[in-house]
Amino acid sequence: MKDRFDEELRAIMLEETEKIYMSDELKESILENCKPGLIYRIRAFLNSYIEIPVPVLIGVFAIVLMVNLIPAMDIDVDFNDRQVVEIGNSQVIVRDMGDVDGYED
Amino acid sequence: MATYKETELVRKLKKGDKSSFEELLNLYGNRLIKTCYLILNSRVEAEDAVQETFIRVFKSIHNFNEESSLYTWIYTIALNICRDMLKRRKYVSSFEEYMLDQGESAEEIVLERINREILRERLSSLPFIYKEVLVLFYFEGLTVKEISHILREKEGTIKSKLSRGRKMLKNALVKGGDLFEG
Repeated sequence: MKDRFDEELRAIMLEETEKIYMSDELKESILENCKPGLIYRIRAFLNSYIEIPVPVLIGVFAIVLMVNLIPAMDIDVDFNDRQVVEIGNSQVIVRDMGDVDGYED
Repeated sequence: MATYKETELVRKLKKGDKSSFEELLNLYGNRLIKTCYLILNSRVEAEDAVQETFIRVFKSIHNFNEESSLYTWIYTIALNICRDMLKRRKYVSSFEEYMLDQGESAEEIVLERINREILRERLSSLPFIYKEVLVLFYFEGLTVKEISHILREKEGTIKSKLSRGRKMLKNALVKGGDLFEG
């Protein structure tokens, strides 16, 4: 509980600081000295959370999924669809599909 | 406990948002300069202390871990700067120098004799360790717990300093102006 002495103390402090305030010059001077430099920006970046909008995230995920899954899909390849050109004792097999490893006789 | 507004301000400060710097100055600038003025008794030094405080705040905002409120952290920095400035002026006296054993019997004499001019004068020459606590308690209206956070001292120590500071001022009134220890 505060008594008269305490109230006097507070009143004196308030009176003493009545005309004390932060001048515009001081404010400008502080702001001038506080311009974020390169190190500040780097630290700000390292400390920041990266915000990615949900639609963008879904889009990127879908693209990644497609790129990874499509080659693995079971594409119906007819390995008999080929042309054989006989040149002497040799045979040249001509086919539209490029991937022949593992399937060729 | 940090408010949502304060948390948001800290977030913007950490991002380097220029408008948040100005917001911080507008929010705490005037309060801080008044507190520094009461402690340092010099407008020029109070301005220097405030400027240094805010520069340190901006430069080390990334180290602010948000365990305490922003103003508590700012006041800790400001009071450290004031303490250093006073040390440079060699105004600081050690805590042990001021052991008061005067009882509260002078209470009535003090209340009768409160002389604002003497009190004002004595307040300005009170040792820093008492003045900082008195200013934070009476002028800033902070609680003992908040002051103990700012000064990183136990609540008991803060209470003791408050009591001793008050006694020294009261004794000064009894003795007509001179600060003494009882």
